[in-house]
Amino acid sequence: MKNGKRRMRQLLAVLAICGVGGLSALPASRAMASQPGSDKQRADIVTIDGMQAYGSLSQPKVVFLHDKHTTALGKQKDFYKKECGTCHTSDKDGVMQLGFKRDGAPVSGEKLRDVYHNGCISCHKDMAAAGQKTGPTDVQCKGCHNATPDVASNWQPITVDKRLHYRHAATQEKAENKCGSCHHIYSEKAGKTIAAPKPEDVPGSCSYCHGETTTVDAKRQPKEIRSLRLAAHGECVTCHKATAAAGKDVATGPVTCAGCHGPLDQKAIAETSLKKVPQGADLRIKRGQPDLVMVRPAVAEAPLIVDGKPVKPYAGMPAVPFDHKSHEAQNETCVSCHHASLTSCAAKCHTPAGNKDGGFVTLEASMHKVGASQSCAGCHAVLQKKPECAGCHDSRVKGVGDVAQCGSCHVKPEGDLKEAAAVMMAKPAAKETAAAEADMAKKLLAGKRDVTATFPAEDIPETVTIGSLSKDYEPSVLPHRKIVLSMLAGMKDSKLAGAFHAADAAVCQGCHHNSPASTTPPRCSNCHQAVETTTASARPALKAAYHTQCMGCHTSMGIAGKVVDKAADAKPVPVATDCTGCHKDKKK
Amino acid sequence: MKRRHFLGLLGAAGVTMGTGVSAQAASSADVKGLPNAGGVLFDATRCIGCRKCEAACNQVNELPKPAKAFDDLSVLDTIRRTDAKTYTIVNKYVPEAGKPPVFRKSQCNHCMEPACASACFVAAFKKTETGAVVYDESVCVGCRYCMVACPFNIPTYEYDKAFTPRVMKCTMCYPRLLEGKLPGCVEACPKEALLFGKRRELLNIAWDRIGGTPGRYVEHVYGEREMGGTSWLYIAPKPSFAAIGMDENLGTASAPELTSGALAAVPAVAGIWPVLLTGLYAITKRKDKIAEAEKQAAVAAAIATASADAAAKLSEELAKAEVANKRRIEVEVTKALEAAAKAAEEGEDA
Ligand code: SF4
Ligand code: SF4
Ligand code: SF4
Repeated sequence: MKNGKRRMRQLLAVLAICGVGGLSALPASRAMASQPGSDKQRADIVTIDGMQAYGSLSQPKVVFLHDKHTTALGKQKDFYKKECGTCHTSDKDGVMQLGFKRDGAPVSGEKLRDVYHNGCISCHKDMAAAGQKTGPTDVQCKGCHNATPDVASNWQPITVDKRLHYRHAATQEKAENKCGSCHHIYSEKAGKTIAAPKPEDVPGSCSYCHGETTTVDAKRQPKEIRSLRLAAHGECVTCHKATAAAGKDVATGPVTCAGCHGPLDQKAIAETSLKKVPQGADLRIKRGQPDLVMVRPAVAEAPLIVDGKPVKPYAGMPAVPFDHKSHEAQNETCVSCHHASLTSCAAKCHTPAGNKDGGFVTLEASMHKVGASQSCAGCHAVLQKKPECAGCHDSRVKGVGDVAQCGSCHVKPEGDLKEAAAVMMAKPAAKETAAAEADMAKKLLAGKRDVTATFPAEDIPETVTIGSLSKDYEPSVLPHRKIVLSMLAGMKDSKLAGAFHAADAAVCQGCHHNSPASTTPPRCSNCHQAVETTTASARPALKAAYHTQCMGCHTSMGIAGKVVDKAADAKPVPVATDCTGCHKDKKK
Repeated sequence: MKRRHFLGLLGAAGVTMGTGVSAQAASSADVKGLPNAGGVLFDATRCIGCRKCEAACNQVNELPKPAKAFDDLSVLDTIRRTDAKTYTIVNKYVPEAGKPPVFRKSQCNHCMEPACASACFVAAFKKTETGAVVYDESVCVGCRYCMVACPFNIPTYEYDKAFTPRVMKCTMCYPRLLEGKLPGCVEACPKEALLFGKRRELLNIAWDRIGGTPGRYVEHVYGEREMGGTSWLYIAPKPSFAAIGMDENLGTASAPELTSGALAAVPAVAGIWPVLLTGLYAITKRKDKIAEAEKQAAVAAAIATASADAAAKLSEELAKAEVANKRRIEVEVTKALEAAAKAAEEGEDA
């Protein structure tokens, strides 16, 4: 029985992919008409395969097109009077069920099958009798159970980005409890979910409580926490529909599948957001988060004992002065970093030693894991894939592997700050005032660059002639200064790049790698031998070093074969096999 | 099992006839016996398809000039294979539509336990200490079993030469190696897509590259184990080696290994083998290209070399062999004959 219930729940979740009825003929969708995409690429595909929970399927799954049904029914006003109620029942409180023609109670497999067969076919038959165009009416299974449907899904998840959140908040500006209109919490006293009373009570993103599947918390009533899918459709679409039905002139959101999940509609939403949100509007979602904060590394708690005596307590890595506000501006949602809750990463999940709640991901890994986009190093590594960064960074070690980079985040306090920082870090985090932390962070960040800089242009050699290997070809004349300046231009809007390219020579090291930072870096041939030998080495010989460096960068930056220079006589950056693009043929 | 694998088996035993050495001589013991064998690592993520390697190979081996110049990259638009005038070719593949192409150079892989050598009953092929598998045209009888046996479709034949046609394939620039020089193609590559060195060191470098750039390479070094291992090794970008035209299903057993068991101990010429050899001649469409006398001489020589008691030994050994093994041989023989017959019908080079 218990098992059956669980299955039923899964089933409901599956069925509810787009389970909320929405009719394109309603005023709501007039406000934002769904754009007609290609008929074969659809966002409204609901795969009816609920019978899977009762054993293997004897027929192919049914590909049900939700928007197609709501549109068709919407056109049949005379015939169709119950709106969503045609397919979806509502409970005594008027809350609509997302499954087809049934409440949430468990049913047997046979019953479920009958619900579909009777529900679908009888409706099709009635419409056919009334002389309307409709779906399959006979018992020819193939009509619905089609293993090779001619439609493909272009469904994509929708993100409530900062602008969309701003637009929603703006509609509630006059409401008494602005945030509570959407954000609810579970109240033990009330024994149910209630509107979040104050902004600080908002737990954050819906996904923090509503997971991929519906979960059960036996300690509360109701026990079930709906899956994100059920919750989002239940709340968002219902509200959009109700708003549209209530007010004449109030614009509201989509109620069709494609309206939220279709790529074209999403583009339209983004464009509308750009238009509707005033220039310079403060998009921050304010819930008491700091502008600046000190992120503390895990410090060994007990002092180290050597020969039975405690030695100087381990000071640990310097704390990271973190510009939270600037990171907020770079991300669309809080979830980009705070993926499971808004509390501190280390509080419950990513403890220094790791625990079950955090999937045994330690605090250190949660900040440095390159493969995880929520970690600091992981997100930065994703950004390094941008063409303007990839030229240098594709071939460089990422994340903590590059130990030379530690100090970029773990800023070492110098001078007056040394002692103040030591005192602050010796206290447990909670004991420090936010203001003092912010102040310390500000001071430590003061020396950081906002934009990438390097040596003055006149000090950068204009051309470099590479000719030591010249044999079949003339020496290659490298437009050295132009290359450096175009790389700088690519980074001019990146504060991240500025902060990490701390030294003037940092940019040089994209090419002059592994060598001492200086205006006169050693020649390539100091490390890359000019003559290839029969002894294999991981370090390429000179000819390959040049070619790999130049071509690799051109390819990563996506500029090979393109004219990047604005000058009238500018030549395209040579593609890899265009030898004479870099060095003239000697024979000619 | 493919026809050429079977012929590999067939040939493995054939070594015995020509040299009097047991077929075991070419087994894994040899590989361990060549700890310093050289090899070449080809990195498909580095290759740009410039064909400098092809040009260099043509030059150092003094091969005839091709119809289209080496700097004509339009040649890459069709998939080519090695031929009697071309020891190596670079082909272009597009593993993912819309993404940049990937190039692969192909030539003899210089197997650790070469099927070509196993198939050759006059021992015209030899795996040398340098790693190179070399061919001796002075003993070659032109039967072209090597061509059938090679799992990589490498050796080719100078069909257009009326007198003394040779089997042609990459030599790993054996003469140059002996002089301490790099293979021509390796030296010419502007990207070090080809790296020469000791095979065991190349394996380390290959795995370092795979591990050092997570996500870039297929996590496999092609040739580390294929067909018992090859001296030419390959690493390739994701998604797969199959995407750049490489057979991912060759298995790890070398040609001689495939015949270990009762078969390996049997002098091949006795019993069924001469019958088979003759049968294969018969179904070879181009058999008339080989002088009739040459054929007779080969078979006669082979039979003569076999010791008088070979027949007795065969029955004795086969009796000893497990039933399963016998069955396997029978099955393979039948399959191979069927495949060969079919290929002959289709007019394919047998
Ligand atoms: S690749 Fe073919 S020709 Fe080269 S050694 Fe191996 S079996 Fe012989
Ligand atoms: S190793 Fe020598 S023979 Fe073989 S492909 Fe390279 S250049 Fe040609
Ligand atoms: S020379 Fe090197 S880069 Fe050019 S095609 Fe040959 S292997 Fe590839």
